[in-house]
Amino acid sequence: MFELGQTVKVLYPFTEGFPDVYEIIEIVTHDDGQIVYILSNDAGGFDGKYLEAI
Amino acid sequence: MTIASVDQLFSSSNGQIFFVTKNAPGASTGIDLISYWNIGTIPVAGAIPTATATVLSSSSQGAIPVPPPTTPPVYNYIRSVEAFTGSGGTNRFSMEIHDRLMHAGGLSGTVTTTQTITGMDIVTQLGVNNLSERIGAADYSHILWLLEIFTGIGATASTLSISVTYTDSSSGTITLTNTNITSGGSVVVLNRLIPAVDSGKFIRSINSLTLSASTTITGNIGFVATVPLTSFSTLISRKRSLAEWRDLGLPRIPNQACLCLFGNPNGSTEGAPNYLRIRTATG
Repeated sequence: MFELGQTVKVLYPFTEGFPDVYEIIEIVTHDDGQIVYILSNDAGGFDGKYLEAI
Repeated sequence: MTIASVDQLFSSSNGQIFFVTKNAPGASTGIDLISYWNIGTIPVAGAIPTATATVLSSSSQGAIPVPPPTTPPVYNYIRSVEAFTGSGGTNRFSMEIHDRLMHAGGLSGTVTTTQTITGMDIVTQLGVNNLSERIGAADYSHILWLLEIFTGIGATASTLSISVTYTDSSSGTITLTNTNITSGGSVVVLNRLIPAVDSGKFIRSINSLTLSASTTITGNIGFVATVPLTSFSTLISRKRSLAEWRDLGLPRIPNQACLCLFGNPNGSTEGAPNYLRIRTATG
């Protein structure tokens, strides 16, 4: 859904805690198939459903 | 008669003596508290709740035994706590005795859709198991709300978004990351994470949990409403530590209180007392 280096914003219910724009710095695929996008600025990991491309 | 003097304390019935032995829950760093709830050996490990909240009582599995209920103005009190520790640096710690009011759990560390909690609402549960007395202040300001990791979750970075309702009926969101809380027994105090915009409010209920990303391990995440009663420290390993009523504040044990232990972590690993001897007074 998203690519490494892509710029995204964080969606509800996490918007208030992460109001900025972030870069995807790592993509982790778990054994169960879930994909976690690690964001810049120590924002942590997010499922794609909580991100929106800028 | 209410205990109001040292003489009355000495003349009060020397109540029960209860032994508590607990094993260490495991490594923990940078968390607020360690929970000994679902660890043995005395009392037995408490049950891990489901997503439907359970209002606990003195007869709940895992509760530290308490004297029989009393009728005011006679009350039960924690009179003294002796802690016997083993060798090693991990046996220097502080511990707290709480009245565990209610808890819910069973939430997954891998589900990223909103997970709903049912019944974790102080107001709707006030009539159960003497909760109306056990909560302390009527504005719910004595209640600590905790996130407790019953079974360890994964370390993949994830943000936890917790939907709460405050006592003024407004809604809010408390957020934290899973950094340092992956081990079973890890506890975070949510009261200190109330956002600035809701500063001064007290939590009434916890409604749901949403993870920003799977932590990769299902584990078991839950929430606890508790009232701290007293605390004590063991300063030196291999030494008996005694905290008497002067140190403990002679806390009253409400009828149907579910007494449990929490530890204050002092580093990367935690121990536990070889055993505690809790002496109560009734008067």
